[in-house]
Amino acid sequence: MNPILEAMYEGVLDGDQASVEDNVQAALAADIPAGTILTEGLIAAMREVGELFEEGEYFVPEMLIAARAMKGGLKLLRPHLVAADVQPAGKIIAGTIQGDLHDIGKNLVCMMLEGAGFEIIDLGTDVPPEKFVEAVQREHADIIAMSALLTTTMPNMEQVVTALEAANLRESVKVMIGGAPITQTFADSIGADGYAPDAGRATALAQSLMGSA
Amino acid sequence: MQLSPPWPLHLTVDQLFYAQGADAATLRQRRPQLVQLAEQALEEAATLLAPRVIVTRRAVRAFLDPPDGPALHLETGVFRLTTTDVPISHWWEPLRHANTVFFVVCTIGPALDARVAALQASEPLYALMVDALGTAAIDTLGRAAYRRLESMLPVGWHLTRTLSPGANGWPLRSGQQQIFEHVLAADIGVSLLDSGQMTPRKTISMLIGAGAHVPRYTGRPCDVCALRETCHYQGRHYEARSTSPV
Repeated sequence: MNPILEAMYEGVLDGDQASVEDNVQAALAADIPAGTILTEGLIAAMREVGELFEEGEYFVPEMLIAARAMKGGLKLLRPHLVAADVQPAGKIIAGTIQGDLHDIGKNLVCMMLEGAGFEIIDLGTDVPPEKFVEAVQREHADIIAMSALLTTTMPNMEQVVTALEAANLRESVKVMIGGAPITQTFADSIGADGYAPDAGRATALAQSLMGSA
Repeated sequence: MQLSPPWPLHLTVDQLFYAQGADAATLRQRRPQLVQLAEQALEEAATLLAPRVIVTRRAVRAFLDPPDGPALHLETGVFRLTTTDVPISHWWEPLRHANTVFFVVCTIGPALDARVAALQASEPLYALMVDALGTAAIDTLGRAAYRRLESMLPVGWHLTRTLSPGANGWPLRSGQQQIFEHVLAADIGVSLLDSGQMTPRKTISMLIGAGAHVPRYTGRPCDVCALRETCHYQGRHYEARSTSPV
């Protein structure tokens, strides 16, 4: 790997935002293509962060400092990505389901997905089905990512799937779900396309749903 | 009744890490910047935490065990322990020998919720740390309330473990409604939403039995939690230092 990208990669793993930003600047100055910086430097590092979390080696706050460092680099890189017409890995509508105000887990997932190169439209918490549908129509999203922390609110996820079907959008968008009470069995029962038990695996799932895993 | 302050919540950096499911010793060693951030959050505690506890005590006249499911005959009426949606759950079993029950709601107030929301967009890492401050605080407050109740018992009495709606098979929505029928939680600024969730978010509700024939509870809440296999927050690290049955 190019030594600048390697240093950038290590900077993300260490959560060293200043180092990542310096190395993004250095990479651009060295005429490394913006798409290469993104995929081989930033996204590759965030993938390893996700894997380390999945293995129990990294903890949640470490994922966040890595994501913060990655985001710092991405901010500098973004104009160059636009200029080079580098497309995001996919567009994801995220939100906590209607009736549920919990958002920490959802926010973690959003940060990890962003770190994997996805564009995230975060609808926040207590999101009714029609808001998800409107957002899919407006944004032409590839994936809906829904979160629920309560057994009383998780059934509302099925209403979103039903609303998508009613709007003839079900075939055009993938549905992934997660949250403490959610299981694969529940995901299957409501017709979701996938379930992820944590933020690290949510990224892999989204990539899988986009056919890019 | 409201249990009187003071509620000195002596929180530590390690508690904030545990509240995020993280191993404190590991983070201290390899992430000094996170230690600084946790210390910063702790410095805000005085302005963000307004701990309050409200309790209603009800005498138990009898444990009823009719064919349609067990119930407590309280001084104020019958308190049903089963619902049709989870008929096989025995979450109520610790109450079988209770002479009295405490309905308890604890909160740290709304300021921390507002602070986390304000930080979320611009400083998500610090928002998580402040949220962890709230998690550690409400956990500590719940334990303190438990100990306070324990100290008020007649000699020879013990408390059961805490029972909370949404855990161990007690349905969330109906269980919360049952507790809120007995506790004027609005008096400490707590509201119950249709979903069963409470606001402020860092609020807990509990039902605790007590009596002369209640065995002293020495287990841990994680032992009976439905999420014990997957929960990052109460699992390996947290349970290792947990000593109070709350």
